Amino acid sequence: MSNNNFINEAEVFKTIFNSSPVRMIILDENHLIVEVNDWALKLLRAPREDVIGKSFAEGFCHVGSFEDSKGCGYGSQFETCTLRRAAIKVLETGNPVENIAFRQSFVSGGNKIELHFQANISSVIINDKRNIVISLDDITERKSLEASLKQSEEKFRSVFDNALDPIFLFEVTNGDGILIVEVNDVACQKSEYTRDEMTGLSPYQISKISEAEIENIKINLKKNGTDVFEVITISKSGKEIPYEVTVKEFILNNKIYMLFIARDLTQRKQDEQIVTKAKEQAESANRAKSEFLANMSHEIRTPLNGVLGMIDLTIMTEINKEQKENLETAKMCAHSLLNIISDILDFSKIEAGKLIIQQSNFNIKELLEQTMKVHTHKANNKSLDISYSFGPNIPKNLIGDHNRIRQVLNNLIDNAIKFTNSGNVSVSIENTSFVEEYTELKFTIEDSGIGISSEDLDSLFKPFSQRDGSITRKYGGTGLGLGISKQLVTLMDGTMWVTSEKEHGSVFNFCIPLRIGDQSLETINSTPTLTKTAKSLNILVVEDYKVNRILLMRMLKERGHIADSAENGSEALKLYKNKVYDIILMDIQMPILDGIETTRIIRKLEGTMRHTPIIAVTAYALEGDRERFLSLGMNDYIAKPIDMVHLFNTIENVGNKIITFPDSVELSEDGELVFTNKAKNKNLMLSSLEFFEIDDCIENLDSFLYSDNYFAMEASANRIKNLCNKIEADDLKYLAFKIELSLRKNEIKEAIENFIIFQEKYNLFKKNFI
Amino acid sequence: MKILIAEDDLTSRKYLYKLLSKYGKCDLVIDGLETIEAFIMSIKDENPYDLICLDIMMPKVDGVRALKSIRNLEKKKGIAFENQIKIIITTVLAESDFVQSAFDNGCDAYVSKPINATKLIEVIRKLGLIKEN
Repeated sequence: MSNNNFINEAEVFKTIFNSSPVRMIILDENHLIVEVNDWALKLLRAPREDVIGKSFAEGFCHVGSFEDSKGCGYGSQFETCTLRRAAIKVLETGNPVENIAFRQSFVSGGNKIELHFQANISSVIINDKRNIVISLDDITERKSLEASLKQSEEKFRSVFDNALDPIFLFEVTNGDGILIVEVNDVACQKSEYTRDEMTGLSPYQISKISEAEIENIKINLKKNGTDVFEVITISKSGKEIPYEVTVKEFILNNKIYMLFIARDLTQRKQDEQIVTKAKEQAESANRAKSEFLANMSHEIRTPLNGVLGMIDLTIMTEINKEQKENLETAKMCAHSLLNIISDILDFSKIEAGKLIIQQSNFNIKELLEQTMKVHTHKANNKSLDISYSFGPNIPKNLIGDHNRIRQVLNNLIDNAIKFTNSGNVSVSIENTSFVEEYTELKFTIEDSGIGISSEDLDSLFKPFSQRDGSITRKYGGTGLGLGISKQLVTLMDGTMWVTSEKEHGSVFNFCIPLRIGDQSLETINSTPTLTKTAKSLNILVVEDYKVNRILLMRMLKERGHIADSAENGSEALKLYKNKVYDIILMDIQMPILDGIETTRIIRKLEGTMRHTPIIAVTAYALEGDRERFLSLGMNDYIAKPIDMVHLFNTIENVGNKIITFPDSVELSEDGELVFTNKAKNKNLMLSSLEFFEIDDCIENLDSFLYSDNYFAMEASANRIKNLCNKIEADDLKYLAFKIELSLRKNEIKEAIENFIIFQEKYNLFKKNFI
Repeated sequence: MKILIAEDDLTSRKYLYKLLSKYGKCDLVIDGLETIEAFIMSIKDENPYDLICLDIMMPKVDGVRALKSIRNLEKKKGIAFENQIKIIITTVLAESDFVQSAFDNGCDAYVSKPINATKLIEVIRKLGLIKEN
């Protein structure tokens, strides 16, 4: 019975051995295989019969075993064979050896296969003899995975370390803040720390970043996942480097990381500085140019106007015919000189891009008639026929720069007369098209003169190109005229061209688009008549230039006003304190105490009890000047050289306003109250931009009206009021103010009513302007 | 009665508004400049104010300056003395210099802050603005 059991047990264990999932090979004391289980056979791809009784290498066809005819245990491979050495050790000592790494190639089915094993060897006594049990673990796959993982790691490590931008990997710890866990080579180089020194550092230790900035970054990361910011890092030696840093947050293995990649900004900052410096230089040069032009304009014109003024004054005295003729000639010369200087200044202005095209209402027919009058005399002297005509449908009033149009006409008519010895000069204006509120006018100046050859036509409009020197000597002129005319026409968005044939006359044409103006306006007749004024005013003239001062005084007295004069600001103040003046004419450019300072002092003395209208007289008629003077306490300004008619009109306008109740009050920069009568300025050109702003605010207010946000509504209404003030729409301003006041009382119904009225009036107003 | 309340403090403004709405239509302005603007607007609309409650301490343009301007403008408009707007200055007692200046410039009465409702109504009544039925 026990024998059977024994045999059964043996069978059981044999079965267990064979089917064990652990690969086992049993070798005897001679390293020959005595037993091997199925799993081991499967791995080593050999059948049992081939293996039993053979050495390990032979049985399993290890490639090394073919080297020496004696097989496993011999040959060079076996010296280093870890398995053999371990086996020997176990046989000797009886102690197990674990974790033997074993990688070798085997031949199976004609193919060479490389296998990785991990083996454990233990000893067992069988039949009083020590045998060894080898259990094998196939770690081939694991090893190959490890290899590819290592490759991958090396690849990414390379990328990391070879990147040219410093990269920092921070870990967001719980409570210890964010600390460096990884940095690349260039990060170490730039910061002058070793990798070890950097690990565990916080951003505050390597840069100038603040807690607030870190917080901001965290907020942005939460919002967008990434952020970009600028920071200055501090190296180990204290060197500061500016960087632009991108940061991204990610989670890996339950840890939160922040990846910072930095781009060195040093070069960019330097470039920016260069650009800024260049820009400042350019701007300052530009400003210098403007000032130079303005100065030259003033400096040159002032004495010339003085000459003309004095000649005029002398003509008004008792002189004989000969003296009058001489003076008239002198006047013509002075005018000539003025024209030439104007040309040069215009040319410079155009070159510098500083010429501004004005926009105002004018009557084109009147303009041409006046212009033709000037040239008729000259034409008659040469026995030329001179005529002009208008096409049909030309609007009476147009909006444009009438001075410049006159200038171009004068230039072309002048040339036509100059270069025509016999025959005629005719000028015509036609309407070529109507588009919405614009019309295009075509001006034609035709002459029967010497004509222009085709070669010369090309260089005609170029400055200094009066064809050849002989022309200049024969006909005179600076040669600037045509060039300037063409530029002016271009600046007015028009085109100019010429057709001509040598000795067969020329036809000069130019077309300009013009906006159609208010047809109901009557323009001022510009022929100066020195009639007495209806209302005599007390006027204080403050002007440092003697000639101008005398002229002004004379003119005002002739007109019937009572005028006192002061040479400078302090004299003006003395006179001001002693007498109540109706108007002060204040020259701006005066030495020691200039016009602006004097005005400021006068306004301070006045407080709110008085407000003497002050008219600024200035040579600098640049854009924005009017607003500037108003904000400084002036009421109006006139430009030098002074046009007498304009001066009288301005004085009388301002004079009339003295007794009328003001339309509006403003607070100047100095905190002075400025009461104004802003008669609707018909010349005020508004761009759509101002209206866009107001439109915006209106929309805002509309959207808030049905909310409960009274504060926002009031703010919108207030903005609208200020914008209306800016565009001098008094009625609208007050309507907006009413809306604001209603809102303040939470009277929403009243506010809405006022708002509706406002919108109606506003739309009407807008229509008139655009 | 048409009343203009010039007061830059929000609470005081609301208080005065509640108090005076019983006696007439009130407009609220928050500084001296707005006060003058509202005055000009009322003249243009030919619907002048009967009473102005003017705080002395206001931003931009203070009460005394506004007062001065308004009296000046009234003169310009040729408004007779007896027809001028009644102006009550409201002020914290510490501003006594201003009070004197205000009287010099033509205010009709002053009420100290914090405003006592009864006192204010009494002053308005004394100025003949509230018609007794």
